[in-house]
Amino acid sequence: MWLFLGVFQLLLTACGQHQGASPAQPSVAAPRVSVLTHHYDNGRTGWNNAESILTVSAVSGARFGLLRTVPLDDQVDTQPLVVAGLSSVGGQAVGGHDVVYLTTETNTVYAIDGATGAVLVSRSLGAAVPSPQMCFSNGHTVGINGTGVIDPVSETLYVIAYTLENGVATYRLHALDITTLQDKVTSQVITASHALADGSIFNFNASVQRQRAALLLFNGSIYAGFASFCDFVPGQSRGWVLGWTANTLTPLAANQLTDRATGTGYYLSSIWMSGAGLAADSSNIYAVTGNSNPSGATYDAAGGTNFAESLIKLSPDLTSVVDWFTPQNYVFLEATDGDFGAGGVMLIPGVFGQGGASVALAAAAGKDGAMYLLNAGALGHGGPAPASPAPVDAAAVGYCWCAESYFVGANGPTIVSSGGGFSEIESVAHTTPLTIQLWSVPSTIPSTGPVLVKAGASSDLSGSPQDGGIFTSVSSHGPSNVVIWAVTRPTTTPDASGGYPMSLFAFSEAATNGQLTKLYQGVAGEWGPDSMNANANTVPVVANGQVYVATYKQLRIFGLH
Amino acid sequence: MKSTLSVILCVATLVAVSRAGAQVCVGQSLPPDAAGGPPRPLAEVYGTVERIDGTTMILVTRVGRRLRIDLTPASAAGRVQAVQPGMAAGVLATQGSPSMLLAQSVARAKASPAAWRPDCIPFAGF
Repeated sequence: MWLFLGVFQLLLTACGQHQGASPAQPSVAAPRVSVLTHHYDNGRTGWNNAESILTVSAVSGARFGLLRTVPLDDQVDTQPLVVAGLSSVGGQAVGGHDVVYLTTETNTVYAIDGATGAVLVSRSLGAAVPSPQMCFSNGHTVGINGTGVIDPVSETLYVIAYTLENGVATYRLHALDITTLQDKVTSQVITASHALADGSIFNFNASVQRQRAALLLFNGSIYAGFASFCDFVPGQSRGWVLGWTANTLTPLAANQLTDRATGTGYYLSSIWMSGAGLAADSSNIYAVTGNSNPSGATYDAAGGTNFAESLIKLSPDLTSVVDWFTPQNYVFLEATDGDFGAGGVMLIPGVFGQGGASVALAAAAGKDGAMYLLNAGALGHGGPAPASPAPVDAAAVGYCWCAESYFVGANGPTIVSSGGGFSEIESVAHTTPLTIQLWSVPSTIPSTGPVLVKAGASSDLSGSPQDGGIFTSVSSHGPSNVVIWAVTRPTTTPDASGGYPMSLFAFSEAATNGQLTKLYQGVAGEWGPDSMNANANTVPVVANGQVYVATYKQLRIFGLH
Repeated sequence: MKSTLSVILCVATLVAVSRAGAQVCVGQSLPPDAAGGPPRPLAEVYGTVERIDGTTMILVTRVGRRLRIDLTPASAAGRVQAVQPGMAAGVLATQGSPSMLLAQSVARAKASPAAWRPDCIPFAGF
């Protein structure tokens, strides 16, 4: 059985707060949920299974909709985090309300009262970096680009800010008190070095690395992955995984480079995952990498020098890559900038029977739209040789700059994938329907035949010029009242304010003729005209009867009127 | 690394006159180099790659204008993302000859012009 640290991340706080008389709310206080990390837990399932207010009937009813909009100072590329049960923040009593933590690309951290929308306290962590490397797959400045993580025990928010300090682009890891947003210990300037294959020392260079993947809190340490800006400066930019002791921010003794080759002058093997987080089970850390040299000639997972286009498993002390999986079409992916690592990895809770044994499963998909279901205990390697064991199954889900979600509902264990829309990985533009798909997974893996059984799909949600796939999340009350949430990327047509609207969708798991039942659709926010070349990888966050969606310069809060 | 790889936003709004008429754009500029010269204004343009001849790329903008772009500076700096004819691209460039832009970075852009920032060429003659 996986023992996810996610148990702590999706914290059930029985604080006994009533929400006021409402027919849609239970008569007794329900446990309150905190969402403390990207996609809710360290397995990155995106599933809140303790939502008692936003039932299927409530979400489809007339009372569900936008409650309030909170203006913010810049683009939000990170997921909101929610803490329940705090007594005061910023010197103000919060009366048991949930507190929402947001970070922006100008390095501002906000603590917002989830019930009123009031900004309880905010803080700038320094001047953001304008147009790093002249890459424009982002807004005009890059500040906090990766989602932070909250330790509920120490009440600490960990974030990495990208700051321009005396003209030098610098990453700083902060440990902020969630009640004041002040540093609990001195922020740590991020530096690192690693021995390459020939023994020479390679140093971390903050000016060429993008910190995009969400942070991981695991085993008493904070972990972060690094990527490039637009694949620029590939002779210096590499896929780093770095770690720090959580309570002191002391760097771990070791770190990992996904590409430690020498002499090719083209490295990358970036870890970005469209903002998804490094994942962890009870023992190890997981991440997915992108492309290295387009020639494909530098890939060398078996030799341990270059883990391009691979799902990798790392030891928590970051001394080794203990396992990996590379799709067999990695040469094509390398040649076409077809990053497998455009998507995150999801570790499925629990175990599944297979041939009399128990296996844990992982799912991952990237730009080419192949979702692999893998034995997390034996990823199988692959690459030039067939993986052994072979992937448990694979399914075509459509172009995916996204990540999967998971729940256990009417059809048992179910993976939520999304994919399709726009892609250009084959050098010409393709547009296909963009759908959310449900795939049921039998509790016992059959010895022959397909494992993933498609249980339904949404209607076509395409219509954005941005890249394919979208992030989803799931709320339910145990196995019932399953609601699948998603925020689409911005449309091609601006609204009256000049922004490009994005929509919040909710679906039930019930399908009619294979099509999921739509419960809700509404404007979820917008994306800025200066940022349309940067995908909006927006994760809807559901907690305690409300849905939080952060986009360009705004947070929208949905719930029952 | 010192600020030579960073781009600073122009504090002033630059007014560029294009063939399409007066165009107001907020330009960017490269900071002073090690020699201490003045900041160099940057053009920001988007379009479809028509062809690449050696180190010269022909980019067709959203209004059908063909721009000649020398890729040499961006290539030397490692700031060229793989693009091919038919693909959408965005370019940040300094001024070269009156008919040539000097690319400082070249990256893929979303295919739809709706996703492109406004073009900004703050150079006389363009």
